[in-house]
Amino acid sequence: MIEARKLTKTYGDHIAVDALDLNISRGSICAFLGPNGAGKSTAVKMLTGLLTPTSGSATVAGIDCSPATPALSRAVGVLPESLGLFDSLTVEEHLTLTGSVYGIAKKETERRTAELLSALALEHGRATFLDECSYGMRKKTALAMALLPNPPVLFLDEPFEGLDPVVSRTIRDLLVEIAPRGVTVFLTSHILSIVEEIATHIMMIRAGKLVFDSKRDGLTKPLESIYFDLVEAPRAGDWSWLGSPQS
Amino acid sequence: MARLASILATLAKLSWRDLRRFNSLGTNNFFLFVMLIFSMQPANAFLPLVLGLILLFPLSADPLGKIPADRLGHWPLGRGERLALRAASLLMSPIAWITLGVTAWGARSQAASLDLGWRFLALGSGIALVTYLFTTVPARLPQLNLMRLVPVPHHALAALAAKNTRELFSVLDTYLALLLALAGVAYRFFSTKVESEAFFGISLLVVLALSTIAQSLLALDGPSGFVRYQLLPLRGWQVLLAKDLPMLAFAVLFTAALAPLAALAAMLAALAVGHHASVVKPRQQQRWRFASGAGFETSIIQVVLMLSAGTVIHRVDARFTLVALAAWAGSLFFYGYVLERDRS
Repeated sequence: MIEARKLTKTYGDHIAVDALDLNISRGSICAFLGPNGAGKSTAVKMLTGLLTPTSGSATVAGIDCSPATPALSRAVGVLPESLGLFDSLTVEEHLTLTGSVYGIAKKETERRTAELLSALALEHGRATFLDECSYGMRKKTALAMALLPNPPVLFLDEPFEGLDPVVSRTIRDLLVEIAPRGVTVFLTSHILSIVEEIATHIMMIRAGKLVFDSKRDGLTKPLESIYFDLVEAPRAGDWSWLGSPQS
Repeated sequence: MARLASILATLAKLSWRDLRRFNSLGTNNFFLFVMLIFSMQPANAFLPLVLGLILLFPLSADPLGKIPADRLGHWPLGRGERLALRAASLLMSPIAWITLGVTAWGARSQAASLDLGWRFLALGSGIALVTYLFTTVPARLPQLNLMRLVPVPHHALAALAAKNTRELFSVLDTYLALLLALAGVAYRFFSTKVESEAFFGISLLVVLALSTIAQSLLALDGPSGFVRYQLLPLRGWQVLLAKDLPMLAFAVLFTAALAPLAALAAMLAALAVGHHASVVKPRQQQRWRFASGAGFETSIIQVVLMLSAGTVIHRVDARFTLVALAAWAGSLFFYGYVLERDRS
């Protein structure tokens, strides 16, 4: 469903993503892990047509990711890093816009909108303009926009960060429910406990290079331990000044 | 005291940075035109006064509002320090400086009369009150947000056009155009000596006031909104058309009682040129500021073609509107293609 061959992005001398090979099957929940700046979001941007690769190629649902086309846009639902929202629209209007742009009938858009607003606890904020929304509300709006057109592939850039536990659980349950129906989910996250719970396929990237690629069944030790070994170990600091008498 | 000084220093820095954002005016078509006219006819102060009046609104914003209220509330300041901060912050308002300047000028030129200063203070206070209500009321009573007057229908193009119409109400250029249009309407219906040729001139001024926005059509969406355009299954020309429609509608509506056909042709020309800058040289724009142009050359080309189109339609033959329409359509599809090609 998602394939990449030697996918590379460079900025001058800096290699953001280095010869990334991917082969993610239909119905997988693939977690793409790595520290900030490792190249996760850059990879997602290339796979969703937001960024042209320097070299290599990728297809999603059999559609070339570069150049980006409306066909690719229809095949993927994306929660981008920047959320991709308009300050001059309300939460509900974002979903109205999405339904109309994807050619979904008005009644069906309204039905899906009502369900998404309820599931994501956005009913009370439905008429709030995005520039007056909290970060959590903005993220949930962007997530609802990704889900509303019912795409076969979802790219979710840090979907759980900044959300309350109930909505986070709702999203986890939702992803686990739709994946067996054939929806492929590609997500990035820093919350390893959630990833360990829902992902069927785990990848780790460090400094643009893929350092780990395994099905969850193949994990031989806790995910956190693998992450610290392969990607980055926790850092120590001299914290003696914290908690000492105030100056 | 050191705490207060530190906060005031930060506030001064933020105020100065905010003031520098008014640099956008330097590449605004209307501002350049006003400066040109003013340099040739210094006695003709009507247009600079209109421009200055519009500028007073963003300048009158509360300087202390630049520090997030949550942050300010948590800082360990005593009651006296907070009062001192409130008082000192008022001195950082550009309105306060301008009032002081006007008062000093009035005192010097009108034999120690402070009348002018007091009048300006009253005007500035009134504007500050309007700005305060305009910014705080929608936050506290969301149902009174004026943007709701523009509904978002279930139609891709219409929904985007509605969103873009709302965005147009967040730049000062629109209010300037509206003020000029209202002045034109007042002139037409209430003036005792009406010259019909003036309707044409005022209509072109209205389009001139709006034209700089056409050079940065995608700017008010911000980087986040631009990402959404890239993700939506839309053609480039559809994105641009949804931007153009409100601009064309404003040009015709604002000049409906004056010379709407000339205004339409002028706006079509402004957009045909503006597509290039909007797509090839995209820039960010600040809300509640005047739009900034892409550069002097673009502004000159845009204004010359805009005035030519309006003049030809008004003075030669209205059928030339079709030529303007064709040029605009050609630009729309070409730059729509460029937008798609360069989207990633």
